[in-house]
Amino acid sequence: MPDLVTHVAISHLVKRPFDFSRSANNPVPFRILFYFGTILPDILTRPFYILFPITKDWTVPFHTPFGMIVTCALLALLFESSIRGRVFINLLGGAFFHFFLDALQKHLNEGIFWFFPFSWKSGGFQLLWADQIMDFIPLWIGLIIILESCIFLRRKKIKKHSQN
Amino acid sequence: MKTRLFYIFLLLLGLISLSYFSVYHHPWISVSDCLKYPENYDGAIVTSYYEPTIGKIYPDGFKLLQKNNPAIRVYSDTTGLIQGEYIGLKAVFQKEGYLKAVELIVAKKRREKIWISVLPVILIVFLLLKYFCLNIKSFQVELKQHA
Repeated sequence: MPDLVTHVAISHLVKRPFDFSRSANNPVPFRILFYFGTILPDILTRPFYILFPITKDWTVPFHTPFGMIVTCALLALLFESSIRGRVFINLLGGAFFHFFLDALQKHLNEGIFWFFPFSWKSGGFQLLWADQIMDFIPLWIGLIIILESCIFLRRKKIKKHSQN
Repeated sequence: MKTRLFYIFLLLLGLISLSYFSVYHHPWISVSDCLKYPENYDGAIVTSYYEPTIGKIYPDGFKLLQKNNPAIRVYSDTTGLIQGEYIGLKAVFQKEGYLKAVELIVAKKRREKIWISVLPVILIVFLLLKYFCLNIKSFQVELKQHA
């Protein structure tokens, strides 16, 4: 898996312009939920098996698409009914984006079990090792600064137009 | 409320079942399995380890250490190995009680990766607390008024 800075940074780069381009009602909290979704498969597995390796096999479902559908549905049920659907979509969207990024990483072991619990077949694009992915962190941070600057300037321009 | 709690219970049960299935039906072999029944696993490919790190390095391999799990001798090319670093390993088990490496990679920045990953978790938890709150009465997470 790539580190969580990479996960959140790339999901921000993907999600932020999308939210800005349409006048979505209240996008920020749901964007945060999308980011939460992108870290969810790792925070439900890694801390447990790094601290207590015996739990490794127990945590496997939380790092699979099917397990995440169940988990996100469960989490969405904890939210008020009026926003439950959006919560579910954003959490699940984030989680699947996580799997997409994980699929880019090279593995010697199993990787992602895309069809768990129906099949133990795993796979991915096998492009980069985890430590190579970490080298790109400054690039993502630079791109976020550029993106936020563009959005800031665009907002300023729109504000100026509306005042005139 | 009752229906919601019923669905929460149902999904929790589903997750527990998935975990149970994963533990008892996974296809991978651990070093502990191999050492327990060496004759059964002679020639088996081992890819699953518990937080494996490189122990003592020998001219023809190294000792593979695992957290709370047995260590095992690995025969491999030692180029690039660093004692104490995490490692990714695909190896063949031999009934005499050692592994022969097929592929290995030193996970050089894994510790940094773990520590750096804590930062976004803190940030996202902070943002979630900023925009959402728990209504204890209805046992529901709600958007804060200013959000």
